[in-house]
Amino acid sequence: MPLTLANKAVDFAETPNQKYTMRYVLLVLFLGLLSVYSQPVLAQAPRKFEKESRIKRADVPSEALAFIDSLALRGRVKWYTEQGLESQSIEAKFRNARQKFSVEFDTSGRIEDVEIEIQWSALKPALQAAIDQRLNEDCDKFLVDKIQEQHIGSRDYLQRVILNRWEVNLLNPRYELVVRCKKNIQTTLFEYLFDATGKELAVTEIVLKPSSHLEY
Amino acid sequence: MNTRFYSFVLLLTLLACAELAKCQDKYLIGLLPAVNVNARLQKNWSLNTKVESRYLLRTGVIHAESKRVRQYELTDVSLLAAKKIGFNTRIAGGYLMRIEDGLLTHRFIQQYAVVQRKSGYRLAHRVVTDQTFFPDEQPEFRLRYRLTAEIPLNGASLDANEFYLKINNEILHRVQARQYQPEYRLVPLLGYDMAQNFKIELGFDYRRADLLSQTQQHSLWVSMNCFVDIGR
Repeated sequence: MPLTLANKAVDFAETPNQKYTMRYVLLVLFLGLLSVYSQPVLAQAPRKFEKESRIKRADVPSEALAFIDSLALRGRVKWYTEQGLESQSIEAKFRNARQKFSVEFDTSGRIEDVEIEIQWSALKPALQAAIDQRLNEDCDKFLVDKIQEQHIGSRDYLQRVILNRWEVNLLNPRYELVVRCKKNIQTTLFEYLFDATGKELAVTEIVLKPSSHLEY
Repeated sequence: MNTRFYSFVLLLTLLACAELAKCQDKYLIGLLPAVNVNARLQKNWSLNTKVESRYLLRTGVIHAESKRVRQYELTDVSLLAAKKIGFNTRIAGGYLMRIEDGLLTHRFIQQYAVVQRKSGYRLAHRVVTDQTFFPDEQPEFRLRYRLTAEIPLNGASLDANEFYLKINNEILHRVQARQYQPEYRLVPLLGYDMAQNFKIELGFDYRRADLLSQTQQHSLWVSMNCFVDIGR
């Protein structure tokens, strides 16, 4: 029945119609409650837990601030704190020379690594082949959502990587890939870590966040 | 910057909607509380139950008379079975029962939804068809498309104990007794993720119905949602 602007009186006396109505309501609610007691399916693969929260510049350790300020970046820098199961870190995210950077510090502000988002085509052919072979072993089908080149080293080296990546002789970067992996009909999101030769160092499942509030 | 930009666009849209309201257009204001329970089952199946009620607070004609009402209007109870058919796609089908003045209206629903993970936000596309059977009117057939954006207000993705902005933008095509009437809905909500599987939302649900009629109907509901996810 379409919405009406007519004023309606609420009648609290139970009529035969209302009795049927209540039965329908109870039936639908009962079926709904059945769903509540249904057993969940939990995958057994190692899972990645990370909570990333935005922080203000004023809350960033001075050593981390000094490093980012020394880069004299033009764009805005966003600061986050990242809470893992056993560790906490500070992260600066920014764009430089059309590339997305993520610089991770420990809680005292000491730099830990630099990650640069790159395209599949930027990987060397031998590395592409090694990663391709590994993913083909794990998945019936796969799709690489995101690749980050991960650099570890001294403060000066990481500074040069950010400012002049193409002119730096890179010291064994690692590659973090977010991959949609389809296996036995089921598609799961994984984070793979490879070394510069394409050897798999770690793989964790990324747990997708509930989206029922976006669908219903 | 993103959040401020989105808030600005939203404010402009709401102001535009208010500006476009003409004399003689009808309006109503009310409350729209809803509880939504989603349970994950085996083999990518899930069940979704929703109970939503409407309480009228005020009705009237724009720039003319207005009447304070304060009355219960109706309750919708729905149950949908859904299956994840792809990495980010889900189909669903089910039944909704509307209880209004002691009479029942039956609605059958078919839904297709895609949720996209973007950098810093999520986008959901939803296409719904439904068929409604009234006790005393011709059946109604609707085709709906809704675009929803979820923007975390603290961090790049939504985590527990964080606020988020959710904006629904929906167009509905309705056919009843060979009469076509589109409807537009804009729903800005502020949400709070209490524990990843329990979210509450508060905001406005603006609906502009009878878009092709001389006299349109504007509804502004204060929307209060509660989402519970079980079986993760």
